[in-house]
Amino acid sequence: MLVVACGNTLRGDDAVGPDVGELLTVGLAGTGATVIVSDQLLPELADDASRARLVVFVDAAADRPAGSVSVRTVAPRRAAAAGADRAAGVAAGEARSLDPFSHGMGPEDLLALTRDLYAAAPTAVLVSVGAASFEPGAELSGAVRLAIPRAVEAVLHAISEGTRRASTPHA
Amino acid sequence: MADNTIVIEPVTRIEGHAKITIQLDEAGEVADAHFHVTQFRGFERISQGRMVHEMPSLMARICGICPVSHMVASAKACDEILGVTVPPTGVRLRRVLNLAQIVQSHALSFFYLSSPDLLLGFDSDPALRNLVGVARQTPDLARDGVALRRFGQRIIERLGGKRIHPAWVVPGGVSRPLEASERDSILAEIPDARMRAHRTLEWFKKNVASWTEEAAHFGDFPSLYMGLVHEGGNAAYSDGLLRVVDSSGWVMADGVDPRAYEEYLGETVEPWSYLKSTYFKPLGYPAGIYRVGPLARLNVAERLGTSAADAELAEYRERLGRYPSSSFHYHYARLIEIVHCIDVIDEILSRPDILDPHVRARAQINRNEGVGVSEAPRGVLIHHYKVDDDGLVEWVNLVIATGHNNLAMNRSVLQTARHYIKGDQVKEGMLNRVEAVIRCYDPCLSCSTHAVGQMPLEVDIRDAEGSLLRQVSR
Repeated sequence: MLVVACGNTLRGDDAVGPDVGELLTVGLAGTGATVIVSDQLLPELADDASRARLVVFVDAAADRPAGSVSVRTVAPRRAAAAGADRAAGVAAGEARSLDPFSHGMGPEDLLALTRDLYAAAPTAVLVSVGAASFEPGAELSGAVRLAIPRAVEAVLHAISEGTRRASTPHA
Repeated sequence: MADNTIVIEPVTRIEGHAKITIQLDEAGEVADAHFHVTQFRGFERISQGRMVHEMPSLMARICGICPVSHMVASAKACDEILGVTVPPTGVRLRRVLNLAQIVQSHALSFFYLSSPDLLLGFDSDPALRNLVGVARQTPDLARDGVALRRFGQRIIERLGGKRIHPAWVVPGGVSRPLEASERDSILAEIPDARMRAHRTLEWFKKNVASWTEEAAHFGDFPSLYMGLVHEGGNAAYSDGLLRVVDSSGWVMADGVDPRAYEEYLGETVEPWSYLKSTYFKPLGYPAGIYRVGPLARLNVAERLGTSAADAELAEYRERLGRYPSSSFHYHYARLIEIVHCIDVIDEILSRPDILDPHVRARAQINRNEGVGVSEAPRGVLIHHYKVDDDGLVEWVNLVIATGHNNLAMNRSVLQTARHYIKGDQVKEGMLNRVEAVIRCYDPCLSCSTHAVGQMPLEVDIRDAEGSLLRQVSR
């Protein structure tokens, strides 16, 4: 099991990912799960992801109500995405960039790199915490701070579910 | 902006934000070109009023790719202000951290930023000319890059507690000694890293003939070179004295105590960039143009000091001459340095005294001024502080590797543009080559601009009357 908790601790509610990650580092100690706290998703995390059966991403979300906690499964970005964009005549500025070095590299891109480099396809979920503000230097907003225990619980539940599925014998 | 100007903005696959402008004359030939750094960081001013003991951690925030370089140089400046001698094991641990960062930074530069051009071609589809494209075409190469970057970052994490902005390097040494389990886990990963580094170097040497034209026009000109060396001529990365040589190896300055850097290095500001330009003072500006970083380090040093890397260095010099002058060869030099750094990390961590608990000296303020110098991945890095008797920072000067290379980068852009861009026949691959020469230097622009984002690129090509001839978008 791998937990990747992302965010910039110097930008307001973006710190919720690292804060949750630090709690999980303590809470998951000795369980065999690995917790990585990172400012952003980077290509070398594909190596870590390739060794996991389940990857749980934790991040702040700008497009969700502040303090909300949501969980969704994540799939690797399709290999033909860029070619399809160009074939469809999508303008260069609007095409989804496959450049993994932009600060917009998302879980789907990392999983795609994991697939392409290591032929690995871990199950993945994203735990998103709705953010109120990303102002530099600001502390966590009240709503986000209150959401931390629920976010931690969501990660633990995802791990538990993943463990249960992995140990369930197939028919 | 003049009507006969080509603008490349942003410059892609570099750290930070920059643009390139190319001025055409009435015949459509390249008349001039500039590399503009368009971001401003201002840490020299931000630091004023801070307590000096905060400086290493504060300075680490300058950059997310090379924070360790800033921590080490900053801590060394603070060591002088405290008037302490760092315990030998503390010195060695700082060296390991610095070398690990060079490995991961060089891996980023070569594999992530430049290999897409080298492997897929400078004229290949820009939508796929990135690590994802490399991963699909040559996954082994991409995996080696990811593994080497991870190797360096895991060392940093084990020593400093986190991969980016570790807070472990402090004035007087490091904050805690190395544990045996940490040392053993790092040593266990060295054989794999070493194998990948050598494999990549073999791949590069096998393919280097493919890039003969680029090598001849990517910043191939005479200049000075500057780097740190140990007494005896071995390359130095954390300590040592400054040496400057010219393009034929004539020693222009040697054995220079970094504290005397101001006697040899001048800084100037041009109106078209936030990046200061430094120059070798005895030759004045701009004749005192010099380069730093991997290419310069291998020119300045007699040898690296580890057997495998020195064997590679001998072959490098046999292929390219004793003092290679093309900035394209930064790539080759960078790969040799990865091999060397891994071997030095192995040597240091294999010492029995590396677990010594004495890793930090403590003192109060004993001097009001300190200079710290180290070799960052991109070249010589200088931190110079002045503090009051209570340790409040009053003045900071940062001389950054990328700043040392600014004059050379500008000359390189002009040379490359003149060779590849002709009149209004501007193809995307031509523009990419102009960007690619900048990538040879692996500039870190966030590091370098201290005195005061997915963007679309549109290039308007106009004739001397300003009429739009063509518009190129990407």
